[in-house]
Amino acid sequence: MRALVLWAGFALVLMVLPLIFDSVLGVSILNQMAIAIVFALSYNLLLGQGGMLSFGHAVYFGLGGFLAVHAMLLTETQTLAIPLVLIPLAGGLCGLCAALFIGSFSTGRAGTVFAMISLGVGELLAASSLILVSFFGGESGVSADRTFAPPFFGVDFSQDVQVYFLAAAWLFVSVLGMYLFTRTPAGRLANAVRDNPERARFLGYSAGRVRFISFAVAGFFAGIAGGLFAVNYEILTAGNLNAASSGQVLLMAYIGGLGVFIGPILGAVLLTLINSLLNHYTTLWMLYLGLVFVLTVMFLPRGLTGLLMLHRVPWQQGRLGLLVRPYTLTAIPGAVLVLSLIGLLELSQRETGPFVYLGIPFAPGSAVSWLALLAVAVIAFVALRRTLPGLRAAWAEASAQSPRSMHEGDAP
Amino acid sequence: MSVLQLDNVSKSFGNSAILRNVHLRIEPGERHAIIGPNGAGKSTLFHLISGRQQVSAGRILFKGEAIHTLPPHEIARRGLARSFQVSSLFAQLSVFENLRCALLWPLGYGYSFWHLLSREKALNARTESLLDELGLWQRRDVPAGELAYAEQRALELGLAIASSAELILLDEPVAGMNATEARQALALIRRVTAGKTLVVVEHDMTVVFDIADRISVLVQGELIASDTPAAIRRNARVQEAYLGVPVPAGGQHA
Amino acid sequence: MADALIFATLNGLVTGMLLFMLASGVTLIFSMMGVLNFAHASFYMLGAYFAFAISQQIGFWPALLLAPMLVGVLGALVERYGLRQVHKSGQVAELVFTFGLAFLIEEAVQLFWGRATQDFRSPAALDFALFTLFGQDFPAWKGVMLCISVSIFIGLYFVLTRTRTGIIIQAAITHPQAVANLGHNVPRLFMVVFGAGSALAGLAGVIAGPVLTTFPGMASVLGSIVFVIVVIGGLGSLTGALVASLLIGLLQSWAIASGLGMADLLALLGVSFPPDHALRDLWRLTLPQVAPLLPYLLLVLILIFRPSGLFGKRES
Ligand SMILES: Nc1ncnc2c1ncn2[C@@H]1O[C@H](COP(=O)(O)OP(=O)(O)O)[C@@H](O)[C@H]1O
Ligand SMILES: [Mg+2]
Repeated sequence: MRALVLWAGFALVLMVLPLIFDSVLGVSILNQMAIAIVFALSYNLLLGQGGMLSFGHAVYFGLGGFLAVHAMLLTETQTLAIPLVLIPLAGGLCGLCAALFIGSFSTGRAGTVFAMISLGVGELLAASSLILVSFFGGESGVSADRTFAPPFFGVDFSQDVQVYFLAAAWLFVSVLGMYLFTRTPAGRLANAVRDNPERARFLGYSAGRVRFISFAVAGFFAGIAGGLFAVNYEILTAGNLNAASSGQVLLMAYIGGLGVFIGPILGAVLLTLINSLLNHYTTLWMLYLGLVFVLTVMFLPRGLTGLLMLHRVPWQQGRLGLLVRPYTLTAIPGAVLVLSLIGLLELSQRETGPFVYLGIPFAPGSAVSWLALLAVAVIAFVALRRTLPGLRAAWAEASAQSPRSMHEGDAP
Repeated sequence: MSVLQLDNVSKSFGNSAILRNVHLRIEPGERHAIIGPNGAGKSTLFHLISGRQQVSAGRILFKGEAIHTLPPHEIARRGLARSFQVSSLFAQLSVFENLRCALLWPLGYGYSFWHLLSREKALNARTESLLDELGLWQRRDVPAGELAYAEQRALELGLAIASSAELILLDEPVAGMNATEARQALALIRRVTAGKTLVVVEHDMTVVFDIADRISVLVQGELIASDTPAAIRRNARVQEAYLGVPVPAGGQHA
Repeated sequence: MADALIFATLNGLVTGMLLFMLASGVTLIFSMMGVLNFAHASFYMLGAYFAFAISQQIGFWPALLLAPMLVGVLGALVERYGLRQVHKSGQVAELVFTFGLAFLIEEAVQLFWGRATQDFRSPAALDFALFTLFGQDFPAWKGVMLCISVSIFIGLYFVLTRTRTGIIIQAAITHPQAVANLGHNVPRLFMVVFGAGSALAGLAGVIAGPVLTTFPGMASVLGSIVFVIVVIGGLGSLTGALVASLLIGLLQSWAIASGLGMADLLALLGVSFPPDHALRDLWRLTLPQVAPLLPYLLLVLILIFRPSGLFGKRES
């Protein structure tokens, strides 16, 4: 019952979103998010659920996308009339077929060997995509026009909002599908094989077979995401299946958090948002992204949702209130420090003209600007060092468990 | 026909022979103990039987069929289950999920992706009764990696017995437990393996003489005796192998 | 034909030895710490950029020495304050960390030097042809590259087989636990090896920068190839890394030089196709075109059929 309410709520949110963000940019970002969420969740089936680190997941996204564009072209040339709403499915099936083939030899082992095969296959395909011009279109890619498709109940998908509803429908179905998959025997066994492939074998499961199934399902949904991309952008290029694209999805899933189902959703939403908004303001956003990513791997191995989950114990014990004050006290110098460092980095990139940052004009090349920002950063850093111990102590107090469970937590 | 039959089984790593020409027969319903000093090759023997490692020579028959060339999961599917000396669990999964995973194959789910676990009443009921039996009811939602040592051992045992296999191999199931825990675990083992064939590696002589109706002694990779507990107690070679110290009847052995 | 072959072989040797300077570091780090270092080629890139910056101030020859040292220190710091922290979260996290680091270094390089190719040149004193064969020049700088990489190889061999540290490193490769038990400071050894490996990569960057161009993508161009080599040679085998480096270097060089195409091959078999056939891309393929594909094809095949590589004894 509760689950039903949650899913209905999710559907409702999807319906309402384009009414709130009804600008051209808003709808375009929503479409990107829908694509990114499906892609990131499919990646999580591999890494988070199945313990397979892939450096080539864009292969299935890209192949699905390319096939979808070709399917749209078939409609365009009136060879075959495929309704646009089914195009993502075509992408999914293509992703599935590719995953069935590649999974048949790559899922026998996890760990480094799997990661290396995924890298090799990814590079192989990315390089071939530049050579096999008739399918991949070379440097310029392949494009199609979605409006040639037969109208769907009078909708011709000439507007982005119409595409949004198509994408949202597929998003809903895909999220539901992947969620349900994690609750099936195959999905649960994927977790077991991730944790301990050896033991799974002695319980009668072939670790390779279990991985293969997850891999195929992940390929299917990545293909759907690729198909959605094709419908939305009407073009696919080699950039959609190369290593950078595979890296992006790894970033999304990891920053969002692999442990919890909604982690990658959060990551996809955040990164899409940052990507399309920050892009306009700074040329350095990829650097910031890299920094955030490396820091996440170092200090938040379970990602942002992992950080949120850490608050479950204080919450259950009703001690969340203890954290408010120390959080605020650390957040202020923390934010000032980050902002001043960003200011310094941005300043270093400007050559001429006043650089207005947070409403304050700075002059590139002027020592005063540099020193001012530097001084703020140093002060914030010193302040942060003084507030951190308080936060740590508050954490210890808030998350202290009853003596019994503490003892058990310490056991080997 | 023997449930398990080892003919001339040898195992070596590189140049060092770990097991030499082991012959062993285990009859249906037997509770068989394997004893021997540390490093004698007891765990290696289990690894060979369960398919974790390959025999260097000889053959292993389970219910009359050769299994020494099969991968572990095939052997497990034929009805041979084992536990590990060092607990080998699914660390991030809850105790409940650990046990449920162990039950999926025996209950015929295979790798199904068209069943929802939460809907399978019989499966969940079996898992819960197993939880109850193992005394892990209160820890059902705790990740296996966060359990206390004795609880991990109980879960380890649970994974081995979940499938109701005909032949169960337990590698030092009560090692490291205190007396009370060991007594409970033994009672549990006896209860859940009733009517099945059991092979157990154990150090504690009280346990061994209590539980087993036949005992095999493995010393430096050789099976020097395989007999009833009474006969083993009297066996001169066994006493000698244990550093010349006669095994006191029912006494503790470190 | 013969001249093309000789030059292709020489170029292949230069590339191969250069690749080995990177592959040896990856191999050492992998065998000791169990981490496949994605960022290794990024240290190579840093070497080139540092050397470029230093050579503009105080000249090329000091840069040849200083840049690798700087990169080495940076590598050691990365190990000490980054990797060691991540180690707790397991192997996947370590791999992901080095992946993120590679990403970050590429962005940082762009922050300082921009996206454009840098005008990093070998010293003018070496701007002459070492020898001329069949009317083709072999640049002196390539000779220097070969000399440096070969001496590094000899030096590495000497350090690993003749010095105390080298012998401990060799022991740690095969029996890390035993070495720790003997009371050696394994974490510090890790830091040293990581730093030294990075320095080697940095040196490779210094000498390759002028030839292979110094630009922000130079790490990713070489990075994947180095992985291929390490896997083909066998994870953890230095001999394997050497053989595979030379193999890949020569293969690529020959493939590019030969200029053979699928069409030639088919013509040889007496087959020809209409030019607008659906599979036209396939037989228009030429060896120079597929040369960049070959290493990855080899990688996938090796991993499927012999995951321990040519000389390796263990998998991942
Ligand atoms: N993979 C292996 N490689 C080399 N030697 C091994 C390996 N596994 C076990 N051994 C050796 O085999 C011997 C027997 O080990 P084991 O079967 O674990 O003994 P037990 O369980 O009787 O204490 C030991 O001397 C151990 O060092
Ligand atoms: Mg043992």
